[in-house]
Amino acid sequence: MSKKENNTCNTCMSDLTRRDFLKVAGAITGGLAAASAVSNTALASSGGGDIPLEDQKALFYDATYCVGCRECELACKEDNHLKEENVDDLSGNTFTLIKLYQSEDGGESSFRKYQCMHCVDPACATSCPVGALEKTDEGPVLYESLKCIGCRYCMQACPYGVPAYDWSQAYPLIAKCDLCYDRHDGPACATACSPGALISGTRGELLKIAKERIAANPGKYYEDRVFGEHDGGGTSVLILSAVSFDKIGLPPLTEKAIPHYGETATRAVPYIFGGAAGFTAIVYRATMTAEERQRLGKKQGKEEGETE
Amino acid sequence: MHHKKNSNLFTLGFAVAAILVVTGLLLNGTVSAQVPTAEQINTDQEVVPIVDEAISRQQGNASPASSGVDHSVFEILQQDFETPQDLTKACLSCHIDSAEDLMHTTHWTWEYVNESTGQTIGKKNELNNFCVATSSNEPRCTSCHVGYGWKDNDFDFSAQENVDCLVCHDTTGAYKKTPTAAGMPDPEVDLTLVAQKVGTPSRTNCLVCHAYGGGGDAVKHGDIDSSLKEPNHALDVHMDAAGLNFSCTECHVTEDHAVSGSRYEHDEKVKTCVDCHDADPHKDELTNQHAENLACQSCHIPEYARGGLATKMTWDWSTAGEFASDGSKIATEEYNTLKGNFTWEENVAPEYVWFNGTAEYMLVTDEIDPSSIVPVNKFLGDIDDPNAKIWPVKRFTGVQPYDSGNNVLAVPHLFGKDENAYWKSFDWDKAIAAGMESAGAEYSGEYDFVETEFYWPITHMVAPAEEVLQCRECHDPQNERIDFAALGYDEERADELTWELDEYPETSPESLNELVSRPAQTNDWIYWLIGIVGLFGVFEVAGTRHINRRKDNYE
Amino acid sequence: MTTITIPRIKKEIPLSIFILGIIAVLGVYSMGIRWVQGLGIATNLSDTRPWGLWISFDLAVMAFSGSAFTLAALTHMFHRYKYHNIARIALVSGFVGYISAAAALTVELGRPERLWHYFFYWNPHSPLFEVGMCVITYLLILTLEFLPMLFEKLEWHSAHKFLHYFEIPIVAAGIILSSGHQSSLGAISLALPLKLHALWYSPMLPLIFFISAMTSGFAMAITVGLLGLRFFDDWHFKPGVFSGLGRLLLVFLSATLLLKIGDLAVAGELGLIFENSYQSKMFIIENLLGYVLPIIILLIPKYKNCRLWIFRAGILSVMGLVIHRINVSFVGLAGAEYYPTWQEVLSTAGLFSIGVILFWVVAKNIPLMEEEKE
Repeated sequence: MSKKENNTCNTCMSDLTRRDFLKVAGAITGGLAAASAVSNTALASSGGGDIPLEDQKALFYDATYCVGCRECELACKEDNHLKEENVDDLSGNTFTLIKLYQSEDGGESSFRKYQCMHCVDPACATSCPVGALEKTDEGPVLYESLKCIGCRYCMQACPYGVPAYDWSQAYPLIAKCDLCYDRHDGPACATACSPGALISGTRGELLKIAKERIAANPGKYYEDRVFGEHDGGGTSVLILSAVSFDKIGLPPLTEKAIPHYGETATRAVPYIFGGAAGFTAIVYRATMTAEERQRLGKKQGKEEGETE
Repeated sequence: MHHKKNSNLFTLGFAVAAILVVTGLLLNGTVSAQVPTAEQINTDQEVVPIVDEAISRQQGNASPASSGVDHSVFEILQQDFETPQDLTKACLSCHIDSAEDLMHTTHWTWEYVNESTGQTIGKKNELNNFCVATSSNEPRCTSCHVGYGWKDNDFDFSAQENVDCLVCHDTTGAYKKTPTAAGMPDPEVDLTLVAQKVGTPSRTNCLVCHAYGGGGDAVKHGDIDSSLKEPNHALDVHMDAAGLNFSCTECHVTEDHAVSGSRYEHDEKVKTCVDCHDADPHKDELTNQHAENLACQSCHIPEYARGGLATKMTWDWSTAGEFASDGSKIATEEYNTLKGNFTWEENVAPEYVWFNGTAEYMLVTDEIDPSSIVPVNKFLGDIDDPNAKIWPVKRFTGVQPYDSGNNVLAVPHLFGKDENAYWKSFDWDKAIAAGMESAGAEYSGEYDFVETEFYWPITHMVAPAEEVLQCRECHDPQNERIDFAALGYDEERADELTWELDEYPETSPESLNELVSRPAQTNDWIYWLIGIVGLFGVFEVAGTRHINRRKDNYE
Repeated sequence: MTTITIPRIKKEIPLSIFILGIIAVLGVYSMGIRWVQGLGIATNLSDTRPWGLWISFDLAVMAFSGSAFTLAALTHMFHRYKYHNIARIALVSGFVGYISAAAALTVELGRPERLWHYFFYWNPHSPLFEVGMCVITYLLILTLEFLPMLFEKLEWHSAHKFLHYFEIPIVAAGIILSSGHQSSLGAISLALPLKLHALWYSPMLPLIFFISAMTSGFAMAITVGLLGLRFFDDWHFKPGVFSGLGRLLLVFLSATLLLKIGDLAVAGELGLIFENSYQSKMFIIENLLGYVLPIIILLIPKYKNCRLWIFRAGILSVMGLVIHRINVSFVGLAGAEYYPTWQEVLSTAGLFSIGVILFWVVAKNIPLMEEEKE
């Protein structure tokens, strides 16, 4: 009680026995270790579990069949009750858009259908702090608008720049293609495509079609491969193109899925906690001045003496 | 007691009579008269009742030449025929009604009354910009008449023996009609042999005339030429010899020798696409919507004259009459002394017009405006016509003579041995005078040449589904097929239907600049630097002076 | 110093605070524009540039607020009690910083009214989730660290003693949570391998963010400490405090710089520094002005103990950190063309001003200086 006259931390320190401190520090560390065990299980790879990848819903787009009639855009707008608008990019009211690539001299051209790629391991789903974006078992990446807090991390993380805002709204929500998840006949765009550029089906089926088409037309398609098989960890929207992928605005992704880039860091978080806890405990003890050690020792000794 | 007996008898008699009368009345309708009527009996002929016997003999073996009855067994056909008419009579001895039926059809009359337009047209009266008119040229033109001997206006259209059965029913390919003999067969032809081998008409029979109109193979229609005798799948999916092998009558349904189908107005009896294919046969709605305004042929016959034979596209009569330096007639692909200049084309993309099935033709009595291209025929229909669809057509252009005094098209007398025939004297004035007289029209004595156009609907040579017209063939702004404005679409709609390339948002490797970090070359860093230095300056001024003043500045 | 007297309350406030007050009001007005008219009107953000000035501001402020845990660790964990006063200042400035960063969220988020979703909808895979949860918890810790000072002033001794008992665990928790979210702020950018320029993108980003947060913690402490001497007459520090902080700043500056350059060297990307692009020039500005220059200053014997020069080094480090955060959130990021609207600039300035005013209010009313003992 006489210690109360002093207001310095040094004095307070002497009220704490070594045992007390270690108890508290131990409790913190133990708690964090437990948390780390929990979060490690939670960190097991996100999304898309029950249905095997080749049976998941997917969409196939062959740019060489596309004539730019834009019926897919209209069908999408109709099916989703979206506003008519003439835009240059995906927006809050445009979930899919046909863009045209033309080379400088006009010798090369290709259409490309812009839309959500429904990645196998989506960057957006991993990024969303409240889990508003989810890779469903069936394949499509769905957005649950009720959870969204509007942080726009998904917009930043998506390598294709898909999630869009209706910026005219004061409190907007993300808008993007949901591969007509609730539509009985599958994506409306595929139903509407007259030239047959869009085909919907299971990912396995569509990959097979794509590869058959490549085999039947050697040299026609860029790099004789279908975009989305492995790009960015794989997508459920597969694209065949005669011109190089970067010309039609597809980013140069490796086979590594975006979430995997941050995997180590996220997994490390509980260890950071544990490490910091341990570190502070060790440092605290190790850098005590001799005086403080003495004080603590005296206190401990007094206690021990009392209990004897 | 006597009264009772009498009354009983009376009742019985009355009942019997009533029963007889009622029965007789009832049976009246059901029992048909087996007795031939006066019409049916051709009193000149012998009725040979061995048809049934012949058919029963046929049960075992199929006819080698055609799917039908083997006519070689018939005695009446086992004789030499002096005239082709004799042969016709022999045919009619069994096929009693056939000539009668045929004579009601346009194949015989070459005349058609179009109720929608009120025109009495038909090959007899029609003008075109090929050989122009049949009047005064009958002996040449009627080599494609389904009859014998129509060489002038005195032809007896009612004489049944003048019907040419063989031209349609020949299966040997040996039957030929002399090109200049008013429909008479080539004397070299063994009529007996041909007669014994008759059968149902095949494509070849129809093509013998319809493919050679206008003076030669593939000249006129564009979608009908001799390549349709044995076409492959690529040329026509229905007539594909190795596939469906449709004969003409599959679609041109024929009943009682009346072949359905008309270039004058829509014939209900002819089969159209939707009779076999659904009205909505495509798997996507948009294409089915197209079918509401586009005839199926528009997309499914992307080109005509695909059978390896070029079709005639233009005919300039005004240059006719030139001879070679040695005085002989010139006859090349591009020029013929008798006819003038032509151009030919193969694999032609059609032109497209609104067509509701009815066409109007120029008659010799119709006044023309020589200052613009004269529409010798016109396909009726426009964008507002609910019955009209956009049809592919062959547009044939020509230059032909007209009466510049009366401003009507001229009927030239081309063929003949007399001096007035153009092909004899190469004198237009005389030829026109003779032709107009034959057609019963006035000739002012003045003639000149005028540009004309003539349309043919394209409906044969249906291409395989893989070859169907692709969207951009019509919707691309550079396309050469469709002129939306010319078809009557208003500016706004025509603009919607034309997919200009600059309407599309752009994508390019540069558009990745927003998704992939690339070295930028802006000078914005200068502004940042200025800001930083400025901020440093603020802190320097705000923070350092007072520090300097303190005594414990240096620690 | 020049003061202005507020007529009604008859209180005197420094002119600079008055000006900041005006800016704060204008700032709130600009925030109101965002709340009423929407992000489309109030900002120049777009789908490929979803983060702008506000995010850069948040990142920078959160880094500076690292002064709280850094100085607390120095004082309590390493038992260097001569830094106690500066630690209290650092705590208050850090607290104020986190409050203004949280306030910035109310305009930055598309749905600020749904902030409570952090408590109910969890996606533990997301670094942003980790940041959010840690910051929420850390604000609680900061409150617990700040309350003793308040209780001291209010003379609620038993409450003060109660909290004081738990001081070490609270400080430890603060360090643990800070290390978590400072590094997670870096982890956010890991999801942008294509978008972030190679000069900044690295798997070491969480570590770089963490160490630079500590660096800027020291820099902030130096700046605020020395600047405050002008405005607060009762402020005093033990001799050797600032030269000590200067030494620590030197160590951490070097560590950060070494980490950044070393990471580039290991990745074979050192050549990019000389690629002569906008980004490379900004990288050079950031590291030359913000790291190399202060390191040089702090190495020179004549300057390393001079408060004036330590202050300059501190300012340069502060700016270096700000530039780094701007580079990572804007300059080095691919995206649509962007410059902030006046509403964004004014609201950011307003939030900053509110922070400073809050600090000034606290500093004026709660004794941040402790009496010297022993």
